[in-house]
Amino acid sequence: MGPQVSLSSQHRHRPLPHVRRAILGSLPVGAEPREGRRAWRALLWALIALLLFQIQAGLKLHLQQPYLRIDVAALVLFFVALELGAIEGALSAFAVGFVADLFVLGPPGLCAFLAVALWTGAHLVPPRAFRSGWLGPAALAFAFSAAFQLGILLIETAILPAAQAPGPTAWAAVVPVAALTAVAAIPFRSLLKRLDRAISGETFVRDR
Amino acid sequence: MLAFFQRYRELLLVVALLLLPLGTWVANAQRDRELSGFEKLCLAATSPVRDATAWLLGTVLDGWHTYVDLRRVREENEILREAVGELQFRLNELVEAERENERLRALVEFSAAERGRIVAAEVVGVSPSHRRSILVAKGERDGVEKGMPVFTAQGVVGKVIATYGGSAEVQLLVDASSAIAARVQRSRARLTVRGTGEDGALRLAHAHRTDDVLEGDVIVTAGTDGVFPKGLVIGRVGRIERRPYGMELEGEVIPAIDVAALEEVLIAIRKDGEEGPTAEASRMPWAPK
Repeated sequence: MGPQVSLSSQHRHRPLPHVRRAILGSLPVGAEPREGRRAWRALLWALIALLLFQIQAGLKLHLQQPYLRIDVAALVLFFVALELGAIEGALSAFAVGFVADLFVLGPPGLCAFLAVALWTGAHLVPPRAFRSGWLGPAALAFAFSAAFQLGILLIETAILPAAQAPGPTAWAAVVPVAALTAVAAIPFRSLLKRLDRAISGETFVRDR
Repeated sequence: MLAFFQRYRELLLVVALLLLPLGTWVANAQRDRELSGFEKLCLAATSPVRDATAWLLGTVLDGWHTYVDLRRVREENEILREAVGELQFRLNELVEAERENERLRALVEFSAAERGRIVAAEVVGVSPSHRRSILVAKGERDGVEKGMPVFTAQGVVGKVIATYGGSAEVQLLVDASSAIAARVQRSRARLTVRGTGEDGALRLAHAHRTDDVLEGDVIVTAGTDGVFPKGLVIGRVGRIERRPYGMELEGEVIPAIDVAALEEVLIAIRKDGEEGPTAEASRMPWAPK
């Protein structure tokens, strides 16, 4: 089987309890020996997020409509949460948040914190329901995007003076942007999975 | 201790990754954001992607807008073409009406200046035979008779050679068998103008070689042939050929009217006991009885 670390179909349907609790550290050391070596790929996902942000910035030059936007950070986080392991996923979430911070241009660390917090939240909840079909993943992407946007808006509203706080348009855009992100998440996930396989040459399934 | 870190490495990593940005954010929450050199490098290195995307989308949008504009221009063009066509039609109607008005006014003025009754007749046909004649929409019912002179404000057209109920055939002055007694308006020299069968040319006949006829002289009817009243313009003298031998002068006369463009003509009606425009000619001894 070579470097393939994919769990069998039987295990995918019956997730092992210790695997589900991996993030809490109950997983015996060495149970996922290859995942540590994949941590460098957090840079890759961050680079992809950076490129996507730049593409969106280019699109926004012509499409000024505030509601016509995809939440890039939530999109990549969605993939990271569903497809990557604990170490690689945590580092990737942080890196994606770091990139989002560059573009949000709020206080540094805000997006990174939110990204890791979202990723952690997604890992604490068994995401099996969100993995199959298209409705579950789309709902998860919607929730990621809405939570990420609302987190930024709420925190900025809380700490910034009223004159600099996000306006009503930003609040009104949360749902349409989250909906667009959910629509884009399905093909995007498939695309990144192909990229993942192409780069690593192995399939890692974080089935919990 | 090491085992503890190894066992809880993921949990510790997540906690660290949460605390690090949280601390950074708390420490800088009230400060203006300034990008570090690394952050600027990240943005600068990937900015070509943004520029390329913007260019690509701009090109696509430009193409789309150009297409939409072209479609609008095309639709507008069709509407304008229709409008131009309609306006052209209206303009043409106006021009036609104006010209008709001018012709009719000239005819009315001319007929008012002439004595006797004059009827206007519309040209409704052209002889298909070798004869140069036209068919006009006035005939016996209107008092038109054979031999009556036909003319316009510009000059002589010809004479009636046949009449029908509501129409009459008019021999044009350019017909090869047409002959009109004429005078040179300037010198009053008498001569005859004959048709040649061609639209734009008549020829001089019975003019003496020594008669005072010059190129450009106006030729008018002499009123001596029992058909045409005196003084109607026939045309202008064109090329003249004075040969050193022979009795007669040869030359051409350019008709005053354009026979191909005739649309309305006047016919001088002569009734018994009524002095028409040809009364003077009809009193001549050789006039037909």
